[in-house]
Amino acid sequence: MKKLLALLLALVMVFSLAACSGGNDAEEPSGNEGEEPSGNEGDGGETPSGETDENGLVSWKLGMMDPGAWNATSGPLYAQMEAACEALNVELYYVVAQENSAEGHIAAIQNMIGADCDGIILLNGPLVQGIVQQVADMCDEAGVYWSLSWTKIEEGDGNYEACMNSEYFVSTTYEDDVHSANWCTNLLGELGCTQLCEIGFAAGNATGDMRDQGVQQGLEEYSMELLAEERDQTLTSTSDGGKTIMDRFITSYPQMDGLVIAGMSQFVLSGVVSSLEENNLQDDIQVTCIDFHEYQTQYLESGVLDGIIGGHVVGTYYSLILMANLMNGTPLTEEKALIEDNFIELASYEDALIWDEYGNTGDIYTAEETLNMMQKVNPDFTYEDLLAVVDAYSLDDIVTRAEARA
Amino acid sequence: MSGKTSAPAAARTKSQDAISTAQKVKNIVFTNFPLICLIVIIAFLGIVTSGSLFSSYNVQTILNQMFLYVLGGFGCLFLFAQGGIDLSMAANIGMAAILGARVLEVSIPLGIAVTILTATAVGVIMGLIYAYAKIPVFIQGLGMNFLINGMLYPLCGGRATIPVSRTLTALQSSTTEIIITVVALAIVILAYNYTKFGRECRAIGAGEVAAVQSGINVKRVKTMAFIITGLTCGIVALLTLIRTGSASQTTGANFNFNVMLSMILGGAVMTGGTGVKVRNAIIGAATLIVLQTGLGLWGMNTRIQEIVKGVLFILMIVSTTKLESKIVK
Amino acid sequence: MDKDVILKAEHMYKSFGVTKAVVDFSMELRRGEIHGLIGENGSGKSTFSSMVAGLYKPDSGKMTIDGKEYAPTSTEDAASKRVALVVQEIGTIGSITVAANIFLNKEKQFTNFGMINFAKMQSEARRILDIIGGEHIDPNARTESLNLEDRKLVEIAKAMYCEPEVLIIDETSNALTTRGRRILYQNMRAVRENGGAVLFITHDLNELVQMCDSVTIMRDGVFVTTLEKEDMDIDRMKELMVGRDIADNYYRPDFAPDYQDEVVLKAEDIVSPELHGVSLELHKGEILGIGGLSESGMHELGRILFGVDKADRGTVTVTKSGDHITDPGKAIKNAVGYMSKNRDTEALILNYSIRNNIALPSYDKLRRGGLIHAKEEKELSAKWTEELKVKMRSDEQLCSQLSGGNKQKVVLAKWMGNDSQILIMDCPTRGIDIGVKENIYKLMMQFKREGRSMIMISEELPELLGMSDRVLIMKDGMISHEDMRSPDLTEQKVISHMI
Repeated sequence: MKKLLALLLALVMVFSLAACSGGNDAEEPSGNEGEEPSGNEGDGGETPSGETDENGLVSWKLGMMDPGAWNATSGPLYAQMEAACEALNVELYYVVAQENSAEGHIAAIQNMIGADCDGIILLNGPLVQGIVQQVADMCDEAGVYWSLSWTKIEEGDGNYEACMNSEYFVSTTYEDDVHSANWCTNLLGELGCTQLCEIGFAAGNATGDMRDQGVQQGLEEYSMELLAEERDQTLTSTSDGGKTIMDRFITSYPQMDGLVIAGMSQFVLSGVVSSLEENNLQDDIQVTCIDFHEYQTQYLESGVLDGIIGGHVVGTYYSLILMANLMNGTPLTEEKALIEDNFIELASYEDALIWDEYGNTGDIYTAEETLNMMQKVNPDFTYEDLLAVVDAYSLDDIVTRAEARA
Repeated sequence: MSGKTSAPAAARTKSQDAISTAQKVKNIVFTNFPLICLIVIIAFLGIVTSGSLFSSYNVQTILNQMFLYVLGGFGCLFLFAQGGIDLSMAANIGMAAILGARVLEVSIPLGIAVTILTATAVGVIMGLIYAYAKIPVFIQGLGMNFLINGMLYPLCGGRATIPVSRTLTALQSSTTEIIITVVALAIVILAYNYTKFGRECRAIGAGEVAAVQSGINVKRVKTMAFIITGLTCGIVALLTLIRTGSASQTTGANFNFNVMLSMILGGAVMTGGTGVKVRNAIIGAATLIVLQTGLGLWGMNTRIQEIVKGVLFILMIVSTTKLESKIVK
Repeated sequence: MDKDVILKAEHMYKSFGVTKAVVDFSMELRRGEIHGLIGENGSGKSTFSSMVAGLYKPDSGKMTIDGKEYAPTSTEDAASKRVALVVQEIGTIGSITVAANIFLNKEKQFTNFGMINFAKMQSEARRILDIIGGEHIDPNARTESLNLEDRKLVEIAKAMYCEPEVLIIDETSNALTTRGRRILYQNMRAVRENGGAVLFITHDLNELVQMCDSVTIMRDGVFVTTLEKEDMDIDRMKELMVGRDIADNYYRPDFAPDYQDEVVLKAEDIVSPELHGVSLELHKGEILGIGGLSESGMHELGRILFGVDKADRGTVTVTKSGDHITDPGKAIKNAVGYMSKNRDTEALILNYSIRNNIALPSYDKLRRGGLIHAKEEKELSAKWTEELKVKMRSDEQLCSQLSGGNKQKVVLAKWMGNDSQILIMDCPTRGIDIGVKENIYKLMMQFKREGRSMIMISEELPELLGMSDRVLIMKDGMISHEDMRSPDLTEQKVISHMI
């Protein structure tokens, strides 16, 4: 019996410990529990009626998937989201997907809804897992606004229908993936390459298909030849695999002079680099890739990497602006927004340094700029203004605005 | 053997031998320890989330998320009772779902049949290997898992996800899930506790040699248990298709792991025998999901959630095992 | 008081959980005597001797050697005070050499600069083996390659190496042949002649009377009495052990074979690695005894008769149905039951309740429309536990909590519950105390009267001759001799066919 008591005591202690370290930022629910949206659309539906802050912005709760380990793509994205949420009186609520599967994602979204989130912004999870329709159904049933990112939907596909028919769908943001791959390929052409190899996503991935299209255009434009492709996930999902792939390319195709990494670069790039350095070929084979990488600055400096396109870390931010305006009763648009945002292109070491200084910080858009995109604060701000902000996003834009602030 | 543990002195006189009331209370507490833990966890999380754990949406969510694990636990019960485990379940569900989804595009009844039969067929193969090849059961499961996982991508036919028609996904509702669970529970209670087969499964787990010498056809029982596990995978795959509306290579990911964790949290003994009970599946799945949902609702940092869960799981499992040995009948 | 007293134990207590194994036990061991220690199973003999040998720590109580306080912390500590124990179970490690076993934990004396001098260790092992009478054992052999008897001799060598003044032999002789016993006795006498004392635990009262100078009797962990040589009377000792009168002869009273002509089970020309053409017939109402040495193949025969092991050639047929027994399932269908000699691992599921064990072969009979009828299951268990007087709190108790005799009763209940007409019993009374033994013999007679047939495989000649209608003696995988029940059938007569 004593042991049992001791055990119960231990359980309580574990909870209390956890409470001290984690529970203190658990704020009271924003006070809109039980409020069902009227479903009577037209004015953006019901909005939270929580406490307003000094800017007159209501407080509400935003659900997002837990970012997991930091990487060069999701790191700046979440940093920007956290900063913006703070400025907008939004409580950011993370949920972990226990499994990287459809079931796992659905459970995570259910848990966001159960925790009384007023809005949910997701990345490409629903697209990858094929559950866009299920997300739409869940959110409509619970009356929770939702947005997607990194997700291109087009008329005619099921996902488009799902989003457009969802009462609570707000927006999706996406990038031009034909462009990203095309930029990489063209850059190799500019550098005088003629014989290329490619590392890419496994077939059957919508993003991958677009990127392949981009690569193909570039090949034709510069009359280059594609020697080989590697898409085997068992190889492309580790850095060791990256090294193996590159070693094979080098042995099999001595004439190779360029490599385009159109997918999985976060895993393979460091392996590719070490293979090139071991074979002392960093000057003979040019490399470009899509998606920012942790060591891109260093690689660009040493010249082993010749160009990288990425920086698509602000799509969720635009969705947040749209959703926050909606929550405050001042929707920027009555339409469901489909917004294409820009990549950042780094073609040199200097470019990479600029990104490190201004982009990789979490305040690509500062609190002040963020507030200015709220009609409650800045009644003159319109949807067109937001689209202009989206359109302007580039390395120059980031630097210009940062310097203006200084 | 002059027994060091037997108690002939005590066994002589009944009065001396009777179980004290204190021991009886202990027996009740010890046998139901996982349930007590669950109640404590529910009460605690209910309080710290100011009752939002009990909101109708969250109760529904918890039941919804438990559903497949409970069902999976029911299906694995017979194998668990023998001290066996099927590590190929996740892959099996994935394959059944993918093949099923592709056939569903053509015909719904045919698709349902394919989903269930594919998984059952894998169960048959696993069962025959288990009964006749006599390799360690977890190695066999791992091997089959690799084998099937390797086939998933080609089976997808170059597509990342295979969507399932709306007619099928419309079938999903909490009511259906509850009905399925109740029916499954009734079947499993009868099959596990009151059929020769159910008893034989436990006897094999408790003492295979003695079971053989009591006339149990061990090979048949072992094969059957795997077939039931396979059938369960098929049912789970079909229900997953209905719930998620699509099949992909990740369908069913970690399923066997979660079912195993549920069973153990619910008080099941890994070595099988009488330590495996129907209620393990329900209590364990509830513990797992309530913790996952409740800790999040409480607003605990997601990193710390994982640590807390890990610590709690170890504490609960260690104490369940310790207490089990102190039950005196 | 007596300066001859070497070991004195006073008010010893030891409990395991709720089980009180030894209660307020006191005894003395004098120099120059072989002192028997007897009692039923679970009476605390082994627990007491284990405390003396340093295996267990007493809960309370005091021991002295030559008047000096003695509280051993381990067997090594006990050995340093020249107290040694030869245990009931196998006490050697199979995977190391004989020499390494003898000097286990004493390797230090052969160590030079951290290296063990194996040559020296080996020659020392040779010397000690020669002294104790194990000349035929190679100290370099892997211990598991030795037969059970030689492994026991290695243990005796290990015990004798510390030149013990107190030597404890715990039911060791059970595992030994005549030759092995001779060697054991010779070593016991050697200790006595050197002025030491031997504490000799045995079930064999004849052996006890033959060897011991005095005997202490235990019952339920309590000291009953100590008898000197002149008072040692077998019946009296039995009575003291059990605490009540035991019939003078608990075997069957008649001296003539008595069974029907009908053959119920037939084995024809069974060949397996251990058996070289064995045929036998079992008749209705017959107790067929099969005796021999442990390696004679008789245990393997029992397994093949029940279908646990497969014969390379030959058939086992149940005459009534004409079925060949190929697996236990088939045997059980034909109302054949089998009691393995390995009761704890093969005959019973220890971690299973009494009721579950009893019902195990009978599920087909307990089914009503596919489902097992729980009430009938309970009644079946109640009926047979009562009939066989299994001592228990309830039939939901785990079998692991029962004493050896009660476990055996559960095994019997299991087969009776299935209404077995043919019972193959391998060592049915092994390790069972006299009270329950008598009980089992009575049950066998009852089964016989009911027209059931039994094959009793046993290493104990008295029970074999005492109970069987017909005796088969096996040697080297063949039946070497057959005898009908008669008053003239003596152990001497059959033993010559065994060796």
